[in-house]
Amino acid sequence: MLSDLWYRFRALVFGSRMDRELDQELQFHLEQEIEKLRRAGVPQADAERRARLSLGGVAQVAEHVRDARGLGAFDRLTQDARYALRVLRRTPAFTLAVVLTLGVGIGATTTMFAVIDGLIFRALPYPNADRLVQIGATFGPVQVDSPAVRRYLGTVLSSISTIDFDAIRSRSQALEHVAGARGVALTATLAGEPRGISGAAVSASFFDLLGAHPIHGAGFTAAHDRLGAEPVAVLSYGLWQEHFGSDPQAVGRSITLDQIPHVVIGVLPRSFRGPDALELGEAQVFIPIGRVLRTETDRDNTSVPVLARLSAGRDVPSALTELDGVAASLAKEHPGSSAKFWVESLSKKTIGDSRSLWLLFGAVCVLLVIACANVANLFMVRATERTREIAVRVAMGAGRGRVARQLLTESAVFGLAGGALGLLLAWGGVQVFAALAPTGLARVDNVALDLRVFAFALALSLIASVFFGLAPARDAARSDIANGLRDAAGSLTAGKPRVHLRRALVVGQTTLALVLLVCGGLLVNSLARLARVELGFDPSNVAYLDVPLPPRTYPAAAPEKRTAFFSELLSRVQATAGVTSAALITGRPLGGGNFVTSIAAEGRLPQPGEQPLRVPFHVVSSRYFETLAIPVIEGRDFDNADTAQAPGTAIVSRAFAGRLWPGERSVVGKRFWMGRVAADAPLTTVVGVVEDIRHYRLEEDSQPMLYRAIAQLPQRQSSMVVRHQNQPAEMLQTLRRTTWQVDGTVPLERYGTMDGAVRAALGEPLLGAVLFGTFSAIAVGFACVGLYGTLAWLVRARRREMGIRLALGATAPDLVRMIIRQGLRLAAIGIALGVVAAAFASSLLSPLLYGVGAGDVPTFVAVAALMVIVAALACYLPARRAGRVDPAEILRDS
Amino acid sequence: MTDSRLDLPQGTLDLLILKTVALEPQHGWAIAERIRQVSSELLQVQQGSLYPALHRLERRGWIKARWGASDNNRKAKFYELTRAGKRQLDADAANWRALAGAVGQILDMS
Repeated sequence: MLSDLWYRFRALVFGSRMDRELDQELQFHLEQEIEKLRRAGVPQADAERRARLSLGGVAQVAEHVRDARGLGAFDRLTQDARYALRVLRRTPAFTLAVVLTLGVGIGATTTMFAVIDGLIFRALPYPNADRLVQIGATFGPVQVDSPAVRRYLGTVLSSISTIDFDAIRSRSQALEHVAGARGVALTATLAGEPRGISGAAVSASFFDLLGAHPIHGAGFTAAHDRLGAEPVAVLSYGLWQEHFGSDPQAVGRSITLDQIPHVVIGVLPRSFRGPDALELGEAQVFIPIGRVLRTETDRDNTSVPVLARLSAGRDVPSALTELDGVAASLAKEHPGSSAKFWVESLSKKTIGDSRSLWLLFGAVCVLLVIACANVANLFMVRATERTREIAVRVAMGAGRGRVARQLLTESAVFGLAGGALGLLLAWGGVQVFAALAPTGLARVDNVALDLRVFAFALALSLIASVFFGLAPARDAARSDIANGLRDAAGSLTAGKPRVHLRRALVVGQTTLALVLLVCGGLLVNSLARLARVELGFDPSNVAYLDVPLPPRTYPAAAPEKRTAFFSELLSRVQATAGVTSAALITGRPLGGGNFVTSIAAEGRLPQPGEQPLRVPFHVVSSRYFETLAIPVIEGRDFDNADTAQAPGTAIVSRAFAGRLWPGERSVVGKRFWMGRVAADAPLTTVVGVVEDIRHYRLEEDSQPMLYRAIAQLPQRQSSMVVRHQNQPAEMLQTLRRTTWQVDGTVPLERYGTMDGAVRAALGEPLLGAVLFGTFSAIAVGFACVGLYGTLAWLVRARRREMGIRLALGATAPDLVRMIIRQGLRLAAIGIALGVVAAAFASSLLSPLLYGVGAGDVPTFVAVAALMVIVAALACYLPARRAGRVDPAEILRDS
Repeated sequence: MTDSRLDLPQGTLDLLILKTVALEPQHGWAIAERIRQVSSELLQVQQGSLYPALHRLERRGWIKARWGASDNNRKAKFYELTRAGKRQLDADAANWRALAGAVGQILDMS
């Protein structure tokens, strides 16, 4: 066995030396034989001839010996590959066409694979990721259609109360690890400067749950994870590298978070990333949640987002059933509480709606098929041109299998060259994707070309080369030598059956290209509508700056400090040159969160068992509506009268007014309960009504919204919005400087222009439309090249027929029309099939569309018309050539 | 001359080569000659199969090759039996004798 390996190794490495030795050996044999014959009295010339005869040809023997070496197959492969490379160099135009076509197809597919691999396959880099679940609370009715399908008709929150958290931890059997994990904005003092960093407050079991083992130190223990424990922190790899200089002795050192020194007890591995579903992907520092949680007495007051792992053998429905029981007994223990639980698999939650990515992947696969069809077409044309070469090789004694294998090797060489170009293009494609990706797409840095992507591209190249190389290879294996030698340059009969195959390829390409074009058209159409959507506010010339006040210096117990800070800030900003107006809002449009509250109109308390209406609300300063140019329909803006001591006042959206007081012409002065909906609770009075705006998503229709005055509900975190006439960058710089003049400890990390926020909201549809549009344009280009190529080949193959037709009285325009008719007939079949296929394909697209139906007739018509036009162009060029045929020349040639 | 030659049954050539080089290291031509002479010209090794067989045996590790000087002082490749080859030869030879004996007995039936 070993000797075998050694022999093969030597043969592989010293192949040429072994060949030389073999030659010497055989030469020696020949000489010995001649010597022997001569001694027997045979004359020299005769002896040489007889010796050679008895040996049977040195070359054949050498070939047999090589076969015996077990390296024949490998030798043949390198021989074929070398031959293929020669062919590649000999026909540069053909090579360029094939490699470019394949490169684009493979490049696009590889890019999308890298994207999907990064965003979906490697989205949850944790052990047993399929068993990780997220748990939250739900209020109000739940409709259970099946154990797996529930509809939460009431409010769904992504956190639960501390009471429920403790109860689930101690009572659940279906969950083996339960951890709280809440994102926190921390102010770290790094190198003496305050800097806002994202952190996470997590349970002691959090790292075990996610299988993260610190590279230095350790994670939290139960002793760290309780109120009053010594403050400790675990660092992310990035923070450790950046601010502790990758010091292995960092454990034991201290980091100041929110002005409290925390002892570093561990450093996480580079690969660790918090779960994005809980918005912990960017967390740079981890602290024990037990130290920061308030002990709640109300079990409906939710504050802990929960991550858990299902016990082996349990699934989400069974965990849900168990938690329903826990919720029921908790409701008895805490009368008046109503929280129930939802459980969702973390992978579903993280990857979310991956539909657009999969559709894009599908699109590039279709593109690759079209590209391969083109290459197959090119190869078939060449195969007919090479019929003679192949026939000669077969006649000279090359086995048919050998010839077929050589052709396949050739296509593999082409495939690999295309794959190499494809990888190069994919490298660029990934950069483009990262640049275009919406800012919200947190996992985009997961997208990279790595070994997996490389392997994918390699496999793709080989599969593709088999796809386009098979037909010519099979032909070669079957070809008839006599015919091949006779029909030198592809006469009328040559490759007749291939005509059908080539036509089918063209029809298929047109069909697929049309499907992609329809989908691209729908997405572009949808994007255009989304971009023109009536926002309800004017985002131009508005800057925003998120101002989170540190809780230590602005505690809840001293709201007047917050009020003082913000009124000082506002008056300074309003006094700045170029500023038209400035205001504050919690949860700015297209980018902030929102509060949610229960409401009921005065005099209409919900019936027992009926859930009060819950609506989002925002706390704003006066002049907010003026700053964003939101029309005030009736009533007034908040003013100095709306103080903390005055009765509660509110401004409501048009949809809110219509919902609470349907049919009323004026709602100013109406009153409603907010928060605590009860007969003895204080009422809030409507002082104004404003127009509905697209506050959360561009696609969303208006929903009831409520605004309260910041003077009545002082906030710690708020965004400042400023309408101005300055340069945006300068304005933002000024805003930050002004804020720091008021308080230098406020971390200011998020700021920008409102226009930018609108653009960011358009990011994902834009990405989809750009990518789909590009892919479909390439696909149409390929389909046209295919159509052109096939017609050009047909015209050439039928030159004699054309000559005869001309000789018999047909005119050149007749021939041009005939060829165009033939080409368009193929295109028409493809387009008809494509419209049917597109109708199916576009229904997959419908959740991504805004303002256009999946069966949008104008789009279909426009796309089909476009396809007809480009197909006609692709037909015209070869047809013109048919019109130029010179009958005399043709008839002379044959 | 050709009429009196015998065709070698499959696999026999390997056995003959092993036996021939077991006596002393030989080069390819000499192996063929030795087989021809010893078998009284009855067994004629086809040159076309000799060298593939030699390389096959070398690959299996039953013989090994080295370059040496021939009788007429030319550079030649000599093959010699390895220990594994010796074992193989003994086993094959025993098999062959048993087989030949058995076939002989059947043919001698009267």
